[in-house]
Amino acid sequence: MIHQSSQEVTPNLNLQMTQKKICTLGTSSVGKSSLVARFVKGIFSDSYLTTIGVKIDKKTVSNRGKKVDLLIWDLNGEDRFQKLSMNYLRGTAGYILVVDGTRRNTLDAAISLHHKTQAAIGTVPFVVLINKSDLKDEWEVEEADIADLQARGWTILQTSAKSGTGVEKAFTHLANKLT
Amino acid sequence: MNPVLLPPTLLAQLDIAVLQRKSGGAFSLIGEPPFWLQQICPELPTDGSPWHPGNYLLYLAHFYEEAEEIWNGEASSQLTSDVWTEEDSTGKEWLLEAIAMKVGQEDLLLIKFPSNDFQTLRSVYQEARDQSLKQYSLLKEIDKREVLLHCTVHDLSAPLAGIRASLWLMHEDKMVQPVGEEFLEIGLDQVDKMQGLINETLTTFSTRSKPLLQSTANLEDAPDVAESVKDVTEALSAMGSLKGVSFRISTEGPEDTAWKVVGDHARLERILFNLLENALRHTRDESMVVIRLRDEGNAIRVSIKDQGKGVPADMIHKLFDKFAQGEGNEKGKAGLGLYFCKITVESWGGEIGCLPNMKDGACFWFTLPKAA
Repeated sequence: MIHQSSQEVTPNLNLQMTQKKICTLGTSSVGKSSLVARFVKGIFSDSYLTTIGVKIDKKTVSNRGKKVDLLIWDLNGEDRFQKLSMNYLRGTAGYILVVDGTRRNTLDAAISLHHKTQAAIGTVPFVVLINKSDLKDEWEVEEADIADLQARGWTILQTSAKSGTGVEKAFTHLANKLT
Repeated sequence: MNPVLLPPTLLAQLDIAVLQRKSGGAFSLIGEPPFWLQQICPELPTDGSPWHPGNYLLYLAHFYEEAEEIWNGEASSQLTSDVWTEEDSTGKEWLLEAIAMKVGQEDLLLIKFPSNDFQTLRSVYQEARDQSLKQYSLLKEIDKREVLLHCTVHDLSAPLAGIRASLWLMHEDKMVQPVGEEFLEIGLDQVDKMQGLINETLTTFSTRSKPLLQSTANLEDAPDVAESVKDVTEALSAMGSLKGVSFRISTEGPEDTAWKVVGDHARLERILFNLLENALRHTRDESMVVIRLRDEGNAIRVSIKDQGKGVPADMIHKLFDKFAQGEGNEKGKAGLGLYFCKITVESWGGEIGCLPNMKDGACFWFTLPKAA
């Protein structure tokens, strides 16, 4: 079942020229699936269900005045229990690195995943989302950490899948960077 | 293959969708569709007319690229995809995998539930991650309490300094009778002892002031486990010499191996100290403790082998529990050392354990991810 913002279904998606595949990457429990659910369906659920493999959703966005179908590959979180299959990354036009602001080590994991991704598919646009901004009082990721990454030229955005803050902006920002 | 020989509902009952590739990238379904496929693709044609499953099961479009090699006869006879999740109109999620096959002249695509019991695996991952999050919260709480304790101890210093100054003035200005002078000196002596205890506690905290969970995957700041092993063995060498025990360090891996790992330098040394001191206590006199470092690609493995009695098999599973103690509590330790090692190594994404069935001594090991 595909969740679409547009009801139009084309005969064969393979032939569409305006499709862009993006992936969400990060360690487990940082909120990747929740961000996708918030962006695609506008919903948030407190019940947490771990992702196995990949789940693909689709949403049409506007990119520099043109409609683009974003195929959002929500990949399983990589941690000591489950590794990420690099095969999923083939054909990725851009990716979102998701960090849980309340756990500093998820930032290290995201940086490590960024390096692995770059080694696998080369340089493509990406953004870093520091998620769970609704729990900012409990954040371990500090302004200095964010400033360090921004100094590397990275785009860092703060989001909350729970409240929806910054989510639309984050996906749209990446979509606009896609070539 | 002659599908008409099969009962049309057979494949549906087996929960397998078998699709035959037609021209133009379309497929037609063989037999009846399984229930889950109807749930995911309500518009699915059941009369065998061609359709594009990739329009509904988006992962297939990705898989076709690899499947082409099978269907074009360029690779072995079948290929299984990675696992993916589909959601049906009711919100129910289905875990699926696809198999591309060449049977005779027919190009086939099978879609089915994964061979492995992924539902069970998913619940195991779920439980493991829930526990991991709880452990993280617990460690954060411990950190907070340590900081609170630190502040409390620090705050005791100021009134104590006041008490000392007052007693000193009374002593210097001879404000008490000679009979009370002895008690004044006892009081001053006790204040000095208490200040000493506070200083000692603060010094301990200052060496442990980094949060328990703090680690780095940054290459520049990451600790070098080979150097840490060298430093800790040097620090323990005097203790070893009392028993006539020596350390031997060996490394295994490419010449250009960087031994830098995810973690924090001070805590890594504390882990090594705990494990090496443990080995030193249990190894027999005039023996050797061997430390091996092995490059495992993405991780570094450290193993520490002593020549003691070894660990009884029924003890291994609880060795790393909080307050766990060795057989007979022979060494009188509190039982937090290995627990500390476990929670710290795991919080850095590594693993720790003790090899079972070692007859000539115990062999503890841990792995840590390499720093990126």
